[in-house]
Amino acid sequence: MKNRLPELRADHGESQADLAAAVEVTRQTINAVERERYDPSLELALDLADYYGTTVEDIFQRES
Amino acid sequence: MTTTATDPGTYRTTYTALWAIGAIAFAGLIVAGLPFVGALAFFFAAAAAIGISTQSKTVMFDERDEAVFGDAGRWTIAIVGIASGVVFPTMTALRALGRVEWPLWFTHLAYFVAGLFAVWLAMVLLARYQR
Repeated sequence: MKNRLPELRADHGESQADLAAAVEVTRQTINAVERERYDPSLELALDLADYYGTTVEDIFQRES
Repeated sequence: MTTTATDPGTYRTTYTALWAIGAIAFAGLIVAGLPFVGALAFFFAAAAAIGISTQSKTVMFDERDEAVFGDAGRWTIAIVGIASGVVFPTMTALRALGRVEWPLWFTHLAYFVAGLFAVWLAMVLLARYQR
């Protein structure tokens, strides 16, 4: 699944470790999501959307 | 990139290493003729690992780890299932034809595989009940 996580994270000047700590997952999970190797659970997707004050659809898009 | 003692990665590595060291010490000391010491070593390593997991204020394992463990478990059951579905009937047929001996360890292995799938079936039923 494509996502805007690297872009959002860069805009906020955060490291993967910072974001991981904020949403209570490991840095490896954030890295895997950003590299599109792991699709997060609905709960994590909602946590990420809440953290950046946006919607899940704004962060994640289906592969066309 | 440097790591510190409080890095989540350090906790994960230490936790995993302690379980591995405990298991290796257990097996090694049994082989060395010291089973009681082996069991003690395993208990100490396990207690240390559990202590780290309870003391850690960082996330050591998360949903991705659960997904990885789930995939690994599924693949293991599939491999053991396919292998036993081929090996045990073949060995039984060859034994019935008098072509192979059926060693005692093979009987133990067959019981272990049967027990493993009994546990798996029970877990399937439990998982279905919970959903």
